[in-house]
Amino acid sequence: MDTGFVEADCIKQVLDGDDDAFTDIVEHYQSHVYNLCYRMLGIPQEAEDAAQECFIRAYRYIKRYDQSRPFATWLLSIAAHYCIDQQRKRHLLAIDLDEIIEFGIMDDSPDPEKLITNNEKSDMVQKHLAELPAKDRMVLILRYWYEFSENEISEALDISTSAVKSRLHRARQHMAEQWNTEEISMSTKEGSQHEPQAI
Amino acid sequence: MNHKQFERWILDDSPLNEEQQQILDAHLLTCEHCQKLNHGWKNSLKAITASPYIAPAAGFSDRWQSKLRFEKKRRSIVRMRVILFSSILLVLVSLLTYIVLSGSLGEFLANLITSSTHILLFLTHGIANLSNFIQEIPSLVRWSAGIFLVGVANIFVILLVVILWKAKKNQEEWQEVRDYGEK
Repeated sequence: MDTGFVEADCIKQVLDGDDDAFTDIVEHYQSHVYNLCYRMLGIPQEAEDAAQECFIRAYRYIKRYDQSRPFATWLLSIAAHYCIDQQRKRHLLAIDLDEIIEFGIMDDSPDPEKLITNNEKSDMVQKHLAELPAKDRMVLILRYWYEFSENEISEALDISTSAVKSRLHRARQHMAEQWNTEEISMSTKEGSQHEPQAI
Repeated sequence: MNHKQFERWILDDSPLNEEQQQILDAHLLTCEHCQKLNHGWKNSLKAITASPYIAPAAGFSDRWQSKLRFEKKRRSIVRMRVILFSSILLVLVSLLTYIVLSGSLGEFLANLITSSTHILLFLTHGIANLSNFIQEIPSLVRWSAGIFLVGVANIFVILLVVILWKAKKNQEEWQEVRDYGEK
């Protein structure tokens, strides 16, 4: 957390026309918004563009922000809606899934062995996420990366709590099935590598 | 018990009470489908919670500031164009309304030509009278007025050049904004 960052003061200054105060907000929330965009879109460059655009939209519509609600929820709901729209557009352009998966995950961990294991797991999670429908993926991301409650997700995405529950259930089921399928295919690969080759 | 209920217990976040947990554990010993689901979800959840929080490349807020500057320029240019287009549209609509309300198009054109001829005639008479007046005033005053008028004309030319230069610069900025948007 940035030292000296007072959200309410920053928002007040932005509403008074101080652009620099919004830059403080960008610095404070950049990782939150970028991570959400990256988890949704899977490509670093697209995530960067989406995150930038989300902050531009937040800046433009800040007068509509209801200060009784948490700012992070409002900001992430802008990012969530934008990413779902981008996904819809992407479906029209039909980007190859392999292109999304081939990007590695940046990690500053100094331990190379741990780095490989973490990256493998992260890649696997990212790959399974990419296979989920955009709306199911978004509820899963908000639930587990941002620890949003079901009510908070329903507020952020403008959907009913029962819709959140059913999407979460579907997403978890899909993730579980994907995990098992991946394990089976990995064990099959390992098995075929250890088999003696015919001369 | 309904098989779906076990799936819900496995996948839901809400903690189970002791009795529910015992029933689920007993079911997991006999049901391969639920065992797999439980195994897959538990491992998947572990991987999700271990996934790092991805941060953007350094300089994100600087890039955002420059994007904001471009966005503001783009919006001001778009706003100017909308105002210009609306004004032209308003004038055209007013003109059309006037034509429709004042009678036929032929009558309007005839009135327009008559008015233009009168204005032209008035201007010709005015220039002739001015020419006669200039001929009658002493040559020293005439030359001084001439120099003054050339000075005024020069100022107008400089103003025109500045306006054209500004328009060109505006056009370049617009191009820059469009290029940035296409990147």
